[in-house]
Amino acid sequence: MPTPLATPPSTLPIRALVALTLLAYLILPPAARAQATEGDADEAGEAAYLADLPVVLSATRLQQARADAPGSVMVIDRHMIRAAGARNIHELFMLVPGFQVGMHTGNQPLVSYHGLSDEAPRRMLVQVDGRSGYSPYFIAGVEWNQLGVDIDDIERIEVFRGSNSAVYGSNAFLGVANIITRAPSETRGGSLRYRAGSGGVNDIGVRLGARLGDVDLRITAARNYDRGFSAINDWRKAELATLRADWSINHDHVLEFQAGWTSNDQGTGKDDNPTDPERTARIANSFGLLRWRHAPAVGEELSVTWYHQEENGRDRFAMSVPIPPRQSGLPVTIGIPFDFDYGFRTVRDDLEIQRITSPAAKLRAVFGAGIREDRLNAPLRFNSDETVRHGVSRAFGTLEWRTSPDWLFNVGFMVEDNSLTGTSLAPRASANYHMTEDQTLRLAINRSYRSPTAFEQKSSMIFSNSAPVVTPVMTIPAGTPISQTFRPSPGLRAERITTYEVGYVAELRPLQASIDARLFLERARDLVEMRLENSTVGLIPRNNTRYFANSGEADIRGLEILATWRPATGTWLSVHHTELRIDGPGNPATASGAQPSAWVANSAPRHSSGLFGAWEFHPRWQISAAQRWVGGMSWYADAAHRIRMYRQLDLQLSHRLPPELLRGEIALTARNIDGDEETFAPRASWWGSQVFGTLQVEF
Amino acid sequence: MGLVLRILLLLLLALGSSWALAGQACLVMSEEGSAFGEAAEALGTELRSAGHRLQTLPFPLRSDDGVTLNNCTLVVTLGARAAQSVTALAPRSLILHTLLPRSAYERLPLRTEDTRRVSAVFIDQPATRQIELLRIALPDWSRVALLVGRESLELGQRLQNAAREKRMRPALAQLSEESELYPTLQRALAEPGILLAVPDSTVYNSRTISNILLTAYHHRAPVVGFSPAYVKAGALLALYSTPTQVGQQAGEAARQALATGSLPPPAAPRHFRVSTNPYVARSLGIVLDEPGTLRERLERTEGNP
Repeated sequence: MPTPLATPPSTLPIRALVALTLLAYLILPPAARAQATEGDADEAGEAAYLADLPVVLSATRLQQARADAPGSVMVIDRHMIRAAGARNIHELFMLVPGFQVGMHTGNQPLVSYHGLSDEAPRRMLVQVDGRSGYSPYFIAGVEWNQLGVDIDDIERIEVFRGSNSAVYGSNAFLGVANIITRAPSETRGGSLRYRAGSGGVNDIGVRLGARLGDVDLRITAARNYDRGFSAINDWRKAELATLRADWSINHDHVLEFQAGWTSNDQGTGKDDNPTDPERTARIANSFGLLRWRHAPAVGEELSVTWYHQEENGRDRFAMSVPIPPRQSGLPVTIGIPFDFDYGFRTVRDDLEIQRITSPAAKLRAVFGAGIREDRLNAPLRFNSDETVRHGVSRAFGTLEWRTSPDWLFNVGFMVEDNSLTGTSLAPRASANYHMTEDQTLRLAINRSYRSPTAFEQKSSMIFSNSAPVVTPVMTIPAGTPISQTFRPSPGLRAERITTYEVGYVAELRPLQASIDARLFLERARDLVEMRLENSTVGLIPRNNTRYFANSGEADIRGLEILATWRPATGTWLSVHHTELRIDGPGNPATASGAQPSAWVANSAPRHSSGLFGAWEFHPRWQISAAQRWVGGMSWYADAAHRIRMYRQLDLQLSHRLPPELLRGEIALTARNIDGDEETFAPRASWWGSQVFGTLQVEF
Repeated sequence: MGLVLRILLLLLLALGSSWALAGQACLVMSEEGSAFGEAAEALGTELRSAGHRLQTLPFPLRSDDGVTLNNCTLVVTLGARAAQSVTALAPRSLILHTLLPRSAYERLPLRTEDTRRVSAVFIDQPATRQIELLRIALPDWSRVALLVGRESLELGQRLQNAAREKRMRPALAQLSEESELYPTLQRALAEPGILLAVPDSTVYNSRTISNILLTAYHHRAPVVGFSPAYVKAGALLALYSTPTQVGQQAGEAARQALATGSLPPPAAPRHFRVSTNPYVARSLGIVLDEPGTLRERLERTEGNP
């Protein structure tokens, strides 16, 4: 077990929340029961026939039919999430064709669609109920550990495969995942989850839901712990507490409130690394979201959403770093004391107004506008105590025109004004031809962007000594710049990608089967790459000071096929296969000279396949399995870090308890049971097996 | 002379007023809401076209209103509460209850001798019509899930029988309390099927509707409702009669009663509407006919032109 360097994080907030929820629950049932008598006066009367009802399946809650979607969408629903035996959201992307999921360490997942990544993939977007999970901090795009949603609160994840800035803005560069949480009206009552298993897996979660007057309420608190992979310091304790309250003001107006808090304490660093020692780092996140929704009729909706989120990171340690004579030019090795403080704080505010309407029988329009501001404070990353501000304002619109039962056209755009990179227009157009009642052919073209992060543009990392250093020739006063690892990259432009695709969707209802195929060409230009040069600042010169440049390009072409047979909610078999070719210039991005290679070509496997099935073989008994085959690839920009092809197998047996005994489920899950493999880089970490049992009880 | 004349005049007046009431229909409405207003309007139009007058009595009724009711040739009630109040006063007039469900009518304490004087035009659709619509609108779906409470068990059984007759596979589940709703729904929808809503406030009410529609939607099960509000909320389609349609049919029955002195037997509404939610249909990948077409096809099966 690692010894945390930082003070042990307090679990007070989560305890307070649990206590509060228990208290609330003790008070709630009588109130909820009191509600049940209301309306009984009209029992068996005509009131039921004449009463108005709220719009439940509003335009935003309805999932677009695959045959009508302007792109390939895979939906991972709650039943699939359960059957996959996933403890973490990122694990689910292994089920989606075209995605790569690797583990840098046991607490650092890497997820990308169609490659073009490194140890901080940042070219896809994840949203939770419309709240962006794309972090403004550092260079990592999606912070999977900080999404602020418990996996059991998810209703479905809609994965839009392919770029889509016209709808989701920049950052929806290679793919978009929309996480839609369950409505609190669906999660009334209580639920308790306990999970334990190998590798120190020890998770506990509690959820309480109730209706108080016109408000549907849900409170979730969870703590997950595991020791990570063997032999490295990558343990993780993730705590989470979320609240969602939907207030039905009347039948047409709903006010939705969400709030959440997450805290991740995790092991990081290596025991033999002089600048990255084993230690504990902590990232905490909190957010609040307020959405007013007016749905006066079928297909009509007006919503205003505001959210605020804050992220705080703490990772500070003091080290004396030995500098050998060849680096310093001095006759002896000297020790330079540093105070490494990677602490940061980011704040994001986002406001959006959106209208969905049907201006004519065959037309459907979505339009709106929004504004976002990110404020970052990370003195070591930006070599400044000042707050870095980054603002984006946007306007968007989509028009869907069903010219006949056979043809559906969809055009959309988003204009963004970004304070770092200026104005961009992201257009999109698609045509869906319903060849038969069951089969659809789709042609689509779109241009999308990714704006560089503040870090990519403004990073300036200069390490100075924290105390005077006496050497045989001189004394270095405290605060002298010693080494520069990143320098600013002014003038960085947004990356752009143009996608051409042909899609085929078959919904074979009599066979209870569906097929989804996507043939694509994605031309990415002005890709931001990390490059190396000689340092210009610092007492100790280095030849690998990093900066960013729009020097990359890639042509990604391939085919993805997903076929599913699902005769019942709890029984299905799906198979997917992806063929991918990425072509780019031969020069390496990091010209370190180690092993130059066409980095983009290796950034995703050429072939990958998966099988995912579940079988409810007896009422209340389900067995599920997921097998995947992943071809060789490299997360890093050179061939030296190439990992070999591997395969993984997950199995789960679950049993729904007899209701007369207890309402709930018990499951035994074995993940990655067919041996350890390296999924990030050779000699970095081994992704091993994990076996755990889960008991989930509803009350 | 003067006295005799005066007595005669008084007698004539008394006779005249009772004649005036003899051809009169009285209306008792549970409430004044827009639906009741629409039904009353349609009823009034139908009666006025035949030269009858319609007098609305204030609701709630007082105990001495029994005399007033006895003076009406025909009493028409709108809504279950009005029906209960009028039944409690047991007037000797002809009585037509309308805008109430069949179950509410069947629960009225009627004596056997009342059956010739009392009749009804229901607000709800006959079970066979509801099942026939499922067959017409959703021919690929054979399984139909029914969730009922204690109050609606009998209706559930009628629907179950009607479904069996049409070679559908009904699955009836009974709840005794609201907390059983979610697990029962999960079980009922584990296999693909239609969820046919029944008007039972212990199962379907404004608190549970969101849970029911979302759960059904997540199981990709189409919900069929019994009012246009269901379609707005997210049901795939609904079969219902508007208050105007019910009021008009009640007006026709009232005209017959005033003309012949006898009422037609209790009946379900003859005219009805179908509403569909095209957004839900598309999202579920279901191809649905236009609501007008569905209604016409359903009318044809009933032999209506």
